[in-house]
Amino acid sequence: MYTMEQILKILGEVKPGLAPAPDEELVKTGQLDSVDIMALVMALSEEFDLEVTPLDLKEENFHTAQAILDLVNRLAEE
Amino acid sequence: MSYNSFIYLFVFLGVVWLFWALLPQRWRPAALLGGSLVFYFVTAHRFIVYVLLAALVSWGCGWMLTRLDELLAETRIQLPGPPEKKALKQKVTALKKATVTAGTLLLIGTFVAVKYLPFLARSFNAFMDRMPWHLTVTVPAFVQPLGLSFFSLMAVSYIVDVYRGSCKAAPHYWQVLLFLSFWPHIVEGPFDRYGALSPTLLNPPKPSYRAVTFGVQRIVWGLFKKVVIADRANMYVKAVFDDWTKYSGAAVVAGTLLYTLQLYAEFSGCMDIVCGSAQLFGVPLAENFRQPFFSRTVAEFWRRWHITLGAWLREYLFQPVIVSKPMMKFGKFCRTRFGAAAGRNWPVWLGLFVTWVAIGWWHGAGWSYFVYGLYYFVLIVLGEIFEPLLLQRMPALARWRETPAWKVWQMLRTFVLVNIGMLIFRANGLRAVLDMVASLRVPYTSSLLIKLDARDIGVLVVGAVLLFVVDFLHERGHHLREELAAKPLVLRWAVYVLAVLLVMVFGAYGDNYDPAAWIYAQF
Repeated sequence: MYTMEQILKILGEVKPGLAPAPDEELVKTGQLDSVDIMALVMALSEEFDLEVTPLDLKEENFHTAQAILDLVNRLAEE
Repeated sequence: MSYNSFIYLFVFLGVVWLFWALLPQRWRPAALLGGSLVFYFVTAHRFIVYVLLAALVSWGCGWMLTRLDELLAETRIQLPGPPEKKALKQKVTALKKATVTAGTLLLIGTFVAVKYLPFLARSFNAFMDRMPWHLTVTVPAFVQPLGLSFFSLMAVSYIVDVYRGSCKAAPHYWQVLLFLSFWPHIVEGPFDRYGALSPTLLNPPKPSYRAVTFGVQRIVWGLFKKVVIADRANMYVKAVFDDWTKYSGAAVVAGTLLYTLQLYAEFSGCMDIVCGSAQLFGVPLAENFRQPFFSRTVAEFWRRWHITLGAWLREYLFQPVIVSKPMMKFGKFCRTRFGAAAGRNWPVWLGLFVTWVAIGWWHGAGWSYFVYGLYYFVLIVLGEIFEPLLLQRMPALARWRETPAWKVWQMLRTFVLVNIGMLIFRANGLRAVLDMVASLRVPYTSSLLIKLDARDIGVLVVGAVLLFVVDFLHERGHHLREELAAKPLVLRWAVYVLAVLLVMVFGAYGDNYDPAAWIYAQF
């Protein structure tokens, strides 16, 4: 199981200065756009050796740090 | 049959609505299908075959994908152990992939062959002319059917959505045919999704006074934008862009600004007419615009302008390209050779390049459209590179960015950048773009009243201000139509009558005006 600290570290690398609370909205507030999300996907795939498919690229999987952590843990289990 | 023609507004819509309203509920989709096929046949004649075949391919693929899933479910329980079940699943997955690939290739292949083959052949021949050996290819020139770019991409979205499980396949052919041929969105979009549209399209709500008044008021607002603003601005724009060497820098700047106004008024006006038309029948089409000129960056502009094209390309091109195996390998390669930042950014930029080239070329087969896409790609990547650097060098920027003055500055900057894009988009080739930019060296030579008199300019200015005020109020969270609907009956109807009178009195039609074709219908 991965941790929130790992997710926040990657978010900070992808989007310098971004340090959200776990349930803070990221997409609707414009802190993450589609380009940031894809850079985040590349970073997550590399860091955690995940296979992300187009089906996983829904807004609901990226709208908070907690949602991203849930996605990573789910993909790691599959 | 044009959306702003008398026959469409007063005959077609009226007759189809009456049929639709008088039929029993279960037969209402038949009225919509009949209306759609009549609309397309009257407008595009024999090219209706393309729509019928695109619907057949999409429906066939959807049926096949569903059947494969059913077969898997039925056969799996009869198999003895996990290895056999896994092998069967792999086989079915491969067949499903083959189905979705074949359907997509057939639809996109037809689209590319009809729209781009002559351009590809011209480019190839021009390249070969510069080589020591001479090789020339000739290709047949197909006539592009009305709305090909729209119904082909919507057909692809249907197949992929069924494959991904985002929507259920339509059991009957006519249901897909109705979705693709639905007359309000087949000519200029929006790119609707079957999953979102089919519940109301196949099971429309009962006719209602509210749906009719809301639909009609939106159609009138769209007509105001098209007939009063866009067609009037077109006179000036056409003169400047058709004969650009004759005009000074100020005329070119005015022509470019007016083209931006024309395109916005026309395309968003068309969306108002088609969304209003669909609303008469209780069908909510996807929205294509969300106050684009209040954007602070060009990336945000494209999230507010032609929203459904951006969403289509993001979901069916940009994202699948990035998470594809070759791109993942490219990411690993970049990370190993150039560091972590390159590993996560460069594949995304490559995906952005592919997407922006697709956006450029979707608008037309020509090198100026390629440059148009490239222009936005470069702006967005420069933003991606320099924004973090600037924030690092100037930490106060993060605070300034939230001040109203900085937001206004960003909106003005975006407006200027978008206008440069519009110049590339409208000019007659790349040579003309350079000439028009060079004309800025001579800012002013003669009167700026080209093809339009002072009254026309006055109408355009008032129209643009009205557009701005409406967008400003929407941006501030107002819902103007709902707010108007809550006003007393007399006031409401006074506004409706005034709006119709404005269109009739100030519409750019008659002896001194040329009727302008819908711009996006040509894409």
